[in-house]
Parts: sequence; C-alpha cells; structure tokens
Amino acid sequence: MRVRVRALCRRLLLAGLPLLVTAMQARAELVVVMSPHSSITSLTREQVINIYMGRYRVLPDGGTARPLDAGADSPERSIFYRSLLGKSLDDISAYWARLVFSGRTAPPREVPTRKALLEEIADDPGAIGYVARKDLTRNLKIVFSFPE
Amino acid sequence: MQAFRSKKTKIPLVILLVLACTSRCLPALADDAKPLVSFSGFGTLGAVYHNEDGVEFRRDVSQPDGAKGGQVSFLPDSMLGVQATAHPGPDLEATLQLLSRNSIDVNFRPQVSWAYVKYKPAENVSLRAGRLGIELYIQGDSADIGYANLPIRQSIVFYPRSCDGFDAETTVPLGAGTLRIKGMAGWAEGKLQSGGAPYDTGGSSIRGALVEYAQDGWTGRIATGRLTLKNETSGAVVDALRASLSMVPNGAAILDRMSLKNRPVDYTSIALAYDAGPLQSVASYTLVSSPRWPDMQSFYTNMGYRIDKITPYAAYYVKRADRQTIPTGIPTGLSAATDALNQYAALAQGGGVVNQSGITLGMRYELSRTMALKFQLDRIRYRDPDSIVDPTLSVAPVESRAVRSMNLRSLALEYIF
Repeated sequence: MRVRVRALCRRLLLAGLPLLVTAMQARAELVVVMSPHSSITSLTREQVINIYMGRYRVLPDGGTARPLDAGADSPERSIFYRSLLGKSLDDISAYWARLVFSGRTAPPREVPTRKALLEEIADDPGAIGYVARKDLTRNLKIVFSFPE
Repeated sequence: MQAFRSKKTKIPLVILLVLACTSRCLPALADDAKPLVSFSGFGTLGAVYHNEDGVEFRRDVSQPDGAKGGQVSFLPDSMLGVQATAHPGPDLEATLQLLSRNSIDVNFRPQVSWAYVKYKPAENVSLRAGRLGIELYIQGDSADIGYANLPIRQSIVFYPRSCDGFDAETTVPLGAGTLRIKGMAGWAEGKLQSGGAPYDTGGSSIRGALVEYAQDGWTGRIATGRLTLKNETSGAVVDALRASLSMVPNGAAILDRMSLKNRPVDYTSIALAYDAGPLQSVASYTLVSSPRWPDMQSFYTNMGYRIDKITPYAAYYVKRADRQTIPTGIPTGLSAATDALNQYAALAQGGGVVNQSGITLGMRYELSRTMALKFQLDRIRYRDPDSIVDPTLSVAPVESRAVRSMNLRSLALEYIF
C-alpha cells in the first residue's frame, strides 16, 4: 500500500514538473509591455491580474487599459497565464465563459499574429500585452517583469 | 420601468432592433477594437441515471419533470444557449441570449434568458437595463453555463433566476484587491414547481445588492435581497382546502402561512471562493426568511484540483428548514374526512420547507479548450425534497416522513462556441 502511495506521489510530481519548468522559463523570458507613448512606467502583478481577468481595467494614470492576448495557439499565451495565475488556458477559457455569458465583461482581445500585436501595443497608449524578452523592440516599454 | 413590467415581450424586440440597427445602420459608431456583432453560445448534452422507482430527479424546481428511475434521461441537464452581442458604440453594448432547456410550460422551446442594453459611463461603472440574471448568491447568474462550473449542476439554485429591470455596478481598487458593489431592481420572471401546481413568479418585485472583494485568488462576498411575491397560488385543490380551512379553529393562521400574495421573501448570502493555480473551491451560506415561515438555511461547498487535463472534484450541500406546522385544531381520528383535511393542511404548509442534502464526487476532463467531459456520482438524502419529485411522500403523514436517499450517475459533455 505504501509503495502504491509513493508511486502515486511520484506520478503527480512528474505530471507537475513540466508545468513548473515552463513557469520558471516563462518568468525569465516573458515581459508585460505598453507603448512608449503611455505615461505608465510600471504595473504591479496584482494590477496586471486585474486588467487581464477583467476585474479592474483602469490604469494608474486614469486611462482605460486595453489588454491584448497573443494568438490562441501561441506558446506565449500559455506561458503568460501559467506565470501570472498558475492557470492553464483551459481554466482561463472556463473563467471567461462565466463572465461572457452573464454579461459581466469581455476577455482580452486576441491579436492573431505577433507582428500585429507588437504594432498595436506600440501605437495605442492604452494597449497592454506580453512578449518574449527577445522580441522587444524600441517601440515597446516594459511595465512588468516576472520575478526571476 | 413600467414598460418592462407590463410589456415584457417587447424587451427582446427592443434588443433585436438594437442588434439589427447595429449590424446595418451604425458602422461608423463602432469601436474599431470590437466586432460590431458577435455570436457565441454554450451547451450541455447530459445524461442522468438512477434506479429509484416512482421518483423523478429534476435539475431544479423550474423543471416540470425529470429523470425517471431505471431510465437514462437527457431531460434534466441538456440545454443549448446562443448569444448575440452588439457594440453600437465604445460605451454601449446590447446582448440577447436565448436558452433552450426543459422548464415548465416550455419543453425546450427557446426562451429569452438575457436581453439587455449596457452603458458604461466610465470604465469601472456599468448600467444595464432589460432582462437580467439575478446574482443574489455566488455564481447564481451562471448556473446554466455548465462549462464554467466545476460540477455538472450547481448544488443549490435559488429561484427566480432572472428579472426584467436594471442593475448598476462599480468596481474600485481597495488595498491590494478590488471591491465590486452592485445593486439591482426589477420584476421577476419564470415559473417554478415545488409540489402542487406551478407557481408563476412573474411580476414579483425584486431588489438586491452585493459587495464583493477580490484579491489574488480569494473572493469574499455578501449579498442581500428581497423578493415580494405578486401572485397567489390557485387551483381546485388549493381553493377547496382554503374553503375548508376557513371553518377550522386554527384556519386563519394556516391560511396566513399559505398565502403568497404580497409575501416578502428575504435572502442573505455570504460566500468565500478560492481560485488560484490548480485549486478552486467555493463555500456559500444562504438564509431565506419570510414572515411566519420557518427560516431556510443552506450551505454548499465544492473543491477541485486540476492535474493536467483532469480535474477531480467533490461537493457537499445541505438545505434545511424547521418542520413547524400549525395544527388545524381538529383531533386526529375524528373521521376520515377530517384526517385528510389535517394531512392536506400540513402538506400545504410544507411547500417552502426543504430538508435535503447531497454529496458529489466527479471528474472533469478537458477535451479541448472549449469542451469538457464530466462524470459525476451524487448521493442525495431528503426528507422534504426540493428538486426531487417523490409522490409517495405526499401521501405519508408529514410528521412521520422518513429520510430517503438516492444515488445518481451523470455524464455530461459541456461546451462553448
């Protein structure tokens, strides 16, 4: 019996290990960005959660935050929610089903391509998005980094 | 607002007009970032099985019938909802939601479950008017969105579920979290059946308010509301009972308890939810009270822990009310007719009395990002049932009812599109 319990624990740990590794990689690589035209210099993790989960989308300067999501199958999207909330995209989909079909609020708008996403963020002072650090351009400003 | 009450059928027409105008007349006003009109939907294909002869399992009291013993039934849980949302301007939204499910007098004919216009004068303020879901307990406005919920069906569902009226809410930052404050008022709509004939809640006034604080994965919530029933129960049996009770010693007190017209029913609910990482859980307590009725208390909790694509979950609920009945004052055994009158009088007072509990074990499997398969086992115990129809209880003396139990197996495919 004890052997079975140990085996089960080992399997659970192994199942969770890839997620842990993914989350650790994400913290090192993903950053939350806004336009250089925005007056926002930094956001807290709680503010990013509030914006992306539709709880409170007012920026510290009083403007409206317009969160953008990467394409549905992009690795950045999965890594972002795993890093921010520890949630899978399936969880996020169920979360938004409740809010959308009860008329509360809308999910972040999806921008299918990385190029379009970066351009939208750069052009709109209220837009907010997430990109891999290696994809940063001079047209983007980091407002939140996941702790190492 | 009077228009909402007296011309309820016109509300969906107004929303349809807004949707139609949005798609044809107002392209210039549209916010570039949002599609002019978007369509989405949700549904459940659910099968239920139990083997209790003569007993019917209903999802909730809005259903006239349910799953019979020994047969697989798709009646209780299967449903389909479609929603159209238009954005005629950056601050304006119109939504129409149609829902097809088994409910009284409807039999899967699509009904308007939501139809409202929303105006946002500021990013953190919203005002809605039209047909709206009632959110007097946590997740109460999304009980039919199976894909969004952990168990196949919410353990406790209060009725009425929707109203024609308005609500207003604002969210403000407080400390490290956010505080959401909401108020609503309107007129209820929908029928329910909890023993006897269906009761139409239509036209009953309802008002309520809630305060919700969210921080990290935690959400705490307090809500309160008052429903003032408009309609009286009617029917040949009820009318005959009323006539008979008017002649017995305690008849006036019993008739007063039975009366629904202008009866205020107060709801108070507190809830705490946690949703972070792979763990999600909710616990909720609700008190329902009304003058000269025994208080009804309910508690439910559920918890799930996701492991990759699988989320095992467990839930428990209990609904309890004191079984106080006012005796007619006629001694038992006087005659068959007076004994029958005593029994009917006790039964009639028991309409709002519910004593039922249940334990749920289940598993959710994510088939895709828009579809989940759930398997669930329920063990239900009841003495005074709520959603369960057990005709043998109506012939047993109320005072000597035994606790009964049933096992339920459910399989559901839940999806959004």
